[in-house]
Amino acid sequence: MNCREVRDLLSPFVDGALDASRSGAVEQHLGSCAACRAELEALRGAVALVKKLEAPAPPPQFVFQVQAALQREFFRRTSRRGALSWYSALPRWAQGLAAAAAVLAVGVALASLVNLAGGPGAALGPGVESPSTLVGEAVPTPPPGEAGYAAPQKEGGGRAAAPQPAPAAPFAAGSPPAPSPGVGVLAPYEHKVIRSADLALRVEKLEEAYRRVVLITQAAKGFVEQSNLWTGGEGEKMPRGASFLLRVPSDSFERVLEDLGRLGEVVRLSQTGQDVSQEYYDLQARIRNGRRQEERLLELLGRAETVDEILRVEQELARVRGEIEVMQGRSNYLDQMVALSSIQVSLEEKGNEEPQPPDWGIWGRMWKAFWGTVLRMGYWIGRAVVFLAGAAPVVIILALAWWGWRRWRRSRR
Amino acid sequence: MDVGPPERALIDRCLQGDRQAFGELVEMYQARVYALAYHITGNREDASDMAQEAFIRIFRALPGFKGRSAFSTWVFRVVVNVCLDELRRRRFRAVPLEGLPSGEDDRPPRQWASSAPGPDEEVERRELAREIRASLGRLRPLHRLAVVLRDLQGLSYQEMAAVFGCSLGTVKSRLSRARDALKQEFLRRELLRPEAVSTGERGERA
Repeated sequence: MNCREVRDLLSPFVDGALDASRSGAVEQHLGSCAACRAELEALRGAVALVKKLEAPAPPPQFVFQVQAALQREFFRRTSRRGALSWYSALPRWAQGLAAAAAVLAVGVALASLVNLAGGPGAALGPGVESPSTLVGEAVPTPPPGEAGYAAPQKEGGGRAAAPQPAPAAPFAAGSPPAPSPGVGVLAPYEHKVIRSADLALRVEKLEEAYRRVVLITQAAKGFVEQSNLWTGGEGEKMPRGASFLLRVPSDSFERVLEDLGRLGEVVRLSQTGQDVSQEYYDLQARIRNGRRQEERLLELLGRAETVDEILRVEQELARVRGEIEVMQGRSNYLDQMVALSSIQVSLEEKGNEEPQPPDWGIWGRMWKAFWGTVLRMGYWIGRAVVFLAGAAPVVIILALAWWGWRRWRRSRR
Repeated sequence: MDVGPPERALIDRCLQGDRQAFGELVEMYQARVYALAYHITGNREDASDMAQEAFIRIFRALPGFKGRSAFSTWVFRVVVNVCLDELRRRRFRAVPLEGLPSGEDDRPPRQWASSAPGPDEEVERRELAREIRASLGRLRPLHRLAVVLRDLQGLSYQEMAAVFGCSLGTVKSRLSRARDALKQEFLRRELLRPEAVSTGERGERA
C-alpha cells in the first residue's frame, strides 16, 4: 500500500470500520511511514476537537412549541388566506392578468355550458329560466360562516385592552366567530338530523314538469343547486329527461317531496336521515370550553409581566383560538347541512320508450350496438371540439400570463 | 434500535390522530433531534425552528413509515432532509457563531464552574468551542452532517448509510473528505499545529 491509498483509509481506520486485512495493511504502513503517522494523529486530533462540542438541551417548553406549531400549520392550511397566498406573491400586473383570466374562464365555461345544453331556454319557452341561471340562487338562510365573521368585536373588547405583540397578529384577523344565534348555552336539546331524499319520476311532459320542479322549489324558499336537462336533440333515439339537486329548508322537506310526487308516476323514492346530534352537541360543549379557556388566558395575559410570560400565554392563546376556529367551522357546516335538506330528483318522459325491436338476431344486434357506439362517440367528440374552441382565448391568455411570470422570475434570479 | 412495542404503539396512536401520543414521541426524540439541529445551525434559535420543522414533517410523514428500518433511523432521515432543505434554502450564514456569544454560554459554564477551573481556563474553553463550531460551519452541508452524525451523534456507518440513503462506500468517502476539510480548517485556525502533530501530541491549543 502506498501513502495515498493509506490516507484514504485513515478515516474509517480511526473508527475501526476496516476489515482485518486492510486494517492490518494500514497498520503495517504506519509503522514505517512517519508522514502518514502524523496525518493519522492530525485526524485523531481533529476528531477529538469536534467531540468537545456540546449541544444544549432543548428548551423546556419544546414539546409544547411543536404541538402549537402543528396546530398553527393545520390552521394555516384550512384558512382561506393561506390558499390565496400564491396570488398575493405575484407582481401587480400578473395579479390583474390572473384575475382577468379567471373571470374570462368562468364566463366562457358558463357560456359553453349553456350552448352545449342545446339552449334549453328556447325549448322551454318563455317564463322558464335556463338551468344555469338557477345555479346558486339566493340562499334563504344566511351562510353561518359569514354571520360568524361579521361579529368578531363581541369578545374583542377584553382583548383590545391587553397588549398585542406581533406573534398574535395572524390570528387577530381570523378572530373567533360569535356563537351562531339559537345555539346559546341553554338551547333546548333538539335532534340535529341531516335529511336527504332521492326521487325518480316518470312524467307526461318533460318541459312542463321541469318548470314545475323549479316553481315548487322556489315556493318552498329553497334553491336549485344543480340541474340538467336532456331534450334529446333532433334524434328521437336519445332519452329525454332531467335531473336536479334541490336544497330546501328542512321544515318544508316533506311538503316539497309530496308536491314533487304529484308531478308524475313515482318510480323510486328513498329517504335518509343522518343524526348528527351527538357530534353537534359535543362540538358546542367543546367550543364553550375553549372559550372559557380563552377568557382565562386573556385574564392571564393581563397579568403577565415579563415578555417571556406574555409570549407563552400568547402562544397558548393562539393554539386555543385555532382549535375554536376549527370546531366552529365544523359546527357551522353542520348547522347549514341540517337547515337545508337535499333532494335529488330525476325526471324521465313517458311514452317514447322504444317499442321492443323485432329480434334481429345476433348479427343485427351487434351491428346496431356498433353503430350506436360510433354515433355516440361522434356526438361527444363534437361537443369536445366546441368546448375547446370556446376555451381557446382563455388558454392563450393563460399561456401568456405563464410566460410573463416565468420571465419575471428569471429576471429576479 | 428496533421498533420496540412502546414506540410502535405510540406511532399507531399518532396515526389515529392522537396529539398526546405525538407529544410523547417528541419527548423521546427531542434531545437527539434538537442536538443535531443545534450542531448544524450553530445557534439556539435556528436549531429550535429547524427541530420544530422536523417534527412537523415527521408528523406528516408518519403514515409513510412502514417499519422497514428502525424508527430512530427513519426519524434521523427526516431530520437530515429538513436540515439539507433549510441549508440550501437559506444558504446558511457560513459561520453562524462568530461574534455571537449566546450560543455557548448557558450550560457548559455551570458544569465547569463546579469542577473549578480558573476563570482564564473557562474563557479559553469557550473561545475554543466557538472556534471549533465556526470551523464546522465552514463545511459544506453534507460534510457537516456527516461529521455531526458520526462524531457527535455516534451513528455507525450502517446507520449513516440508511439515514443518507446511500451506500457504505459513499458514507466512508464522504466522512473521510469531510474530516479532511475540517482538519484543514483547524490547521488554518491554528487549533491544530502541524509541528505538534508530527511529534504525536494532541493538537489542542495549550
